[in-house]
Amino acid sequence: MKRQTLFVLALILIVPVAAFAGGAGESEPVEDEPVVLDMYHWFGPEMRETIEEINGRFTAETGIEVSYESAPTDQYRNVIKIKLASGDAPDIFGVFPGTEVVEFSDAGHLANLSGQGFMDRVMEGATVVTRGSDGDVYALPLDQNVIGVVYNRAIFNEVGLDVPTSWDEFLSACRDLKDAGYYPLALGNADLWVTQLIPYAMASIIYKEIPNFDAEMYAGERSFNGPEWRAVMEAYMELQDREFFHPGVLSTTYDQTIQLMALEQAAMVVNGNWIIAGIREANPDLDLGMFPFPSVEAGETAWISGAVGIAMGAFADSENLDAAMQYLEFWTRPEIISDYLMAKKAFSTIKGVSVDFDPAAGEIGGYLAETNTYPFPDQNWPSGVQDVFLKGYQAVFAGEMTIPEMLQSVDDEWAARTAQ
Amino acid sequence: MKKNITVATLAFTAPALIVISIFLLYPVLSGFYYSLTSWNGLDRTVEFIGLRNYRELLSDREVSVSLRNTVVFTATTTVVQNLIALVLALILDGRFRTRGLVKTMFFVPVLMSSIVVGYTWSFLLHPLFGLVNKGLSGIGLTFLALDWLGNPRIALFSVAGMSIWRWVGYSMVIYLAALQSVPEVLYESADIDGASPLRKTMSITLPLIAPAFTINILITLIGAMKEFDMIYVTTGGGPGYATQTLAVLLYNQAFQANRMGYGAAIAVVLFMIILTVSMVQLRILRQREVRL
Repeated sequence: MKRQTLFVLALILIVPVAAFAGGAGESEPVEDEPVVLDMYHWFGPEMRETIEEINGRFTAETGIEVSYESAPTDQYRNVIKIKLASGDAPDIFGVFPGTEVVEFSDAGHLANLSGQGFMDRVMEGATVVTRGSDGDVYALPLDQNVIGVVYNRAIFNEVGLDVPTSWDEFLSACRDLKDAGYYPLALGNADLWVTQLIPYAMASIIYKEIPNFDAEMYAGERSFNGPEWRAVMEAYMELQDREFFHPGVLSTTYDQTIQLMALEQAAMVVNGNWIIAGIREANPDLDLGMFPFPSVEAGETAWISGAVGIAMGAFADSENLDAAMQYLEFWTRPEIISDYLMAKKAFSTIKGVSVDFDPAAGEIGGYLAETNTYPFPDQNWPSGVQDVFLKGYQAVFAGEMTIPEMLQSVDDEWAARTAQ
Repeated sequence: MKKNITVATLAFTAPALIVISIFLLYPVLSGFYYSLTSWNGLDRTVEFIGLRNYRELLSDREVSVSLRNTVVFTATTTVVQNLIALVLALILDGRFRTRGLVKTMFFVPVLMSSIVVGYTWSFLLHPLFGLVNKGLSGIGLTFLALDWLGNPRIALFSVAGMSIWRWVGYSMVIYLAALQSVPEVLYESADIDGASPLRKTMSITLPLIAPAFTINILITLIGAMKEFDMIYVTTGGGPGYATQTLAVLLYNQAFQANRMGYGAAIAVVLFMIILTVSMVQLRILRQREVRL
């Protein structure tokens, strides 16, 4: 074979590779093709039907199609960052309220929503955690959630218990339930995000006394390794030491706590109101209620940890930004958001919309009207701090760290993160 | 043959070179670069900070804990997996009726994804719902019904056990192949000399399958040091820090705490460790190999 022939052969081999390497080219949008919005979120599988139904109504009205994809929360957190960093972001995506909105908008990934007319429909208070460092709104808050105690009313009646309103009553209720052969509390601490919920539910100990605790943390006037958080952690561990949880909390997942509630082996679970939907799906016959975690002395009213749970934003560099804005506007319409809230079993962030989605949630909704709320504490922390906290809860449960050691490790992380 | 690089040779290797450069060389080199920055994985600007990440590594308590866990995990899997695989291979080298079936059964876990293996085992090992503890309690071994993945003292070994369960068939097949290449005549001659079965194993079989040891130990060692999916699926590095290896730590730093630069620095260190250990190990084991 002659050298020229070889060369030609080699060229043939190169061409497809070169085309592949440079292949991520931007194809020009064709006029007649319908606009397709890519949407990525961490809505659970139980929400898929509702989301697709809403998307269908949007398409019917505007002719814009929506291609919806979702992933479990922990996985979503990572994938969306990779998508954003590689510039291959979906047009519409979920954003975790709080620190992440600030980080994403500072990095220029989120479109500014402040000038948009539909933002007038959103409750002012709900946008506190969807604002960037410049004070503008960068994500649409879709629902609000509260953390509290979900309980099985039938078991409470059987054991002869009333809803506890103080810490002492709560402990004695747990004791009675345990004596009656139930696990008083289900706890899924194998899932890192679950570990924080009881402390958050109890944190009215902190925020009722010191509403500006986090601001004072930033100012260097407070530390986690102080009397406030130690009290929270000691109360948390008291529940563990008195065996009010089932065995193996560190290998039990969130899904398995739903199972324990559905099988009526556990009488209570401390979680967000979203768990009600999961329990009902597993066992529709249960009579469930929900009350605020009573981490207070008798006669006092507990505050409720409540916050925007889910937000949605538009990719700033999206080719379909106008369509994306239309889509977000669609979600702020009362008839759309009510359907979503009904399925999500969550509280509204849109003015004038109230949804009677569940008797159990209705119970804590009644408390909500009479008491104060504070946001999930981590929504105001620098990123990285929550991760150390989550690891710390597990380490304390596993007996690998003491409470002061654990809180000190969070303080160290706070110092390192705020120093940068 | 003359070693002159012609246009044709260059052109022929170009496709492979281009693919490798784009998908391997470039990411690896950029990883080194990012380890010298404070990039958070999101910003469009990247700040160069020299060796600061590496200095932080030296004093990071989490790094030393993770390093210790990596060593324990690697040592456990490498030793136990190779021992079990060798014993299985010696048994399966004999002749019996269900040999093919048994061999297949031990190899099946290799074909499953570690996600599937991890989820399945964490259900089986769950203290309330799991079959393992129900079975142990059922036959009166209640004291052995432990919280396999929730107890920080045994969680790392439980995960190591799953990893071994998954990969032992792979090592076994390599040992088996080596065993079957040992010439029959050597055994016959040993029989004539009146050697005992143990003597034959020690003096003929083991020396002759030394290359299989080399490759198997190398593969297990590297695999164990990089093991991520199995740990992430079953314990996520927990409870607390009990099963957090360097691979899990680098993931947590890069993707959870948004410290891509620091994560890259951990990756570089992990790479260096794996490279050094593999080279040393390869050299030692190679010297012990015998050739016919």
